Amino acid sequence: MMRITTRLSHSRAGIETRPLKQENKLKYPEDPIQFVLLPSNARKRYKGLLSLQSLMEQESERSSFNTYYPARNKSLGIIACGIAFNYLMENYPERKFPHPVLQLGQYPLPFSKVEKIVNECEQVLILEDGYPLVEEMLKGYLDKNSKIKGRLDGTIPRDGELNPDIVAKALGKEVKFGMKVPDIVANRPPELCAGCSHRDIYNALNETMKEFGKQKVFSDIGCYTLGALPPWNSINSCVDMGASITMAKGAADAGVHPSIAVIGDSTFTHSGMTALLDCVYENTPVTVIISDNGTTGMTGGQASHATGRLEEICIGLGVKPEHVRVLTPLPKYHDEMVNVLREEMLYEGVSVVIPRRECIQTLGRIKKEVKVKVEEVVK
Amino acid sequence: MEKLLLLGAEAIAQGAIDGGMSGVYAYPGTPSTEITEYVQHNKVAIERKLHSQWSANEKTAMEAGLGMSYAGKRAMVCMKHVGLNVAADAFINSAITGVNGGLIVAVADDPSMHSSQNEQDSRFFGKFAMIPIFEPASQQEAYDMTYEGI
Repeated sequence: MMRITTRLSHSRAGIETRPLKQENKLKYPEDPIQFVLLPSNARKRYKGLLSLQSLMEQESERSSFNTYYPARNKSLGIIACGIAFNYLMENYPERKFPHPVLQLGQYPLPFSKVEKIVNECEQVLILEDGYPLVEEMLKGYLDKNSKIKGRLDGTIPRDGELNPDIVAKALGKEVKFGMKVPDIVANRPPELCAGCSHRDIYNALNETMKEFGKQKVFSDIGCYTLGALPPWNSINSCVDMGASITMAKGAADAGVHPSIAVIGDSTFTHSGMTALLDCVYENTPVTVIISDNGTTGMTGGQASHATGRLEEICIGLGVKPEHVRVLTPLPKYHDEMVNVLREEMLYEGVSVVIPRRECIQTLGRIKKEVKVKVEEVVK
Repeated sequence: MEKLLLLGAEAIAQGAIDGGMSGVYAYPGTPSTEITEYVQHNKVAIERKLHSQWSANEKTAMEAGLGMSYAGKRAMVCMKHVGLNVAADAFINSAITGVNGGLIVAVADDPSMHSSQNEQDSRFFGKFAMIPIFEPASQQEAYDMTYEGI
């Protein structure tokens, strides 16, 4: 497994490449039942995995990604995992560390390297982004006065991302990175793009819900989650991919009516299809709004598996064709959208409403590409 | 050998391509999306016809990656941290089946939840599955670890 965090993923640095390797040739496993996890075989394979653990640890001991930097001042030792090592270097340029440092980049933990730094230093500070995994392992459960310092004893905040400032503070150094944000810079929460189809859908949904009451709309993960914020305040949940439909089902089972799900086309094919099948199986009265913008919008406009086959998927899953309703979310069709939503909410069964209009961002990009191509042809 | 200026995500993609990968499987999710997008636009990857189309979700991606490994070829699977919850069934069991061709699962965590629902730490999943975990401190390490790991 490769584990990175946002800061490393989204920051740029120079790298030097290595020789390009050939691809492997097609080759079947030597053991034809290697991948058959029947209990009898799974037990054998699991024992095999357990027996590999000591080899993995030996690899970690030898690994150049787990480097020990000796130093004289042993009042403190520092274990820096992954990107935390980068933040440590920000505080000690040229890797001139006053204290012993163990850089960790490969797990399982290299036992003797960890043992060495813990034994030779009076206290050990653990710098790791994310949860205190290494810290918990070294500290143990009962040792309240442990010499291990980090997120669990408050030396570092328990939650949130690490940064050079937090590391500086934990080391008792002056915090000098970054500049104060001037007061004139206002906090600007994210919002739906001007011209986005989700806006028209929420306008229609809000008007429809005036008749049916509040807190009956379950939503999902995508740009449309911003419908939870003003001025719409349209949705009441966002938990995990596909949860809108299944939560609406559970709420409908509990007596919420109408029970409404708002989900995007890509999220629907990611994890909403089995949820819809659950509704079909029991003919649960839910109204599922699949906002189809023809893309995976929130992550930057990747292709969506649903494009061009959404109605067929819903009908194939067993939704009655007359209750799969396609709309065009534009202000000029507002009244029609409200009427259709109202009709389907009154229906005592599974209905799917598909407002379909292309993501304004991908549309803009395509128009730009076409313009460039036309200009090239004209030249 | 050449020098490139890359995002950490792109360094992983370049490391996998140079390391002899035959395909990447992924569902988009911030901050992991750029890994697959880089493969989709990379010259060598296009020439070699490396698989780089999106999967329906992280579970199907993980399973397809395991299938490519079954056939003896090197594969990479990419996702964000919460995507690993979706792929968990296949991910944990893939440690028991083991691999045939090299298989690397690149997971991008999002501490502080810049664009996520939680800040779960994927190292727990790696430990849970009892497989080696690499955690780079720099873009160069991200490249080297992927190159060696795949």
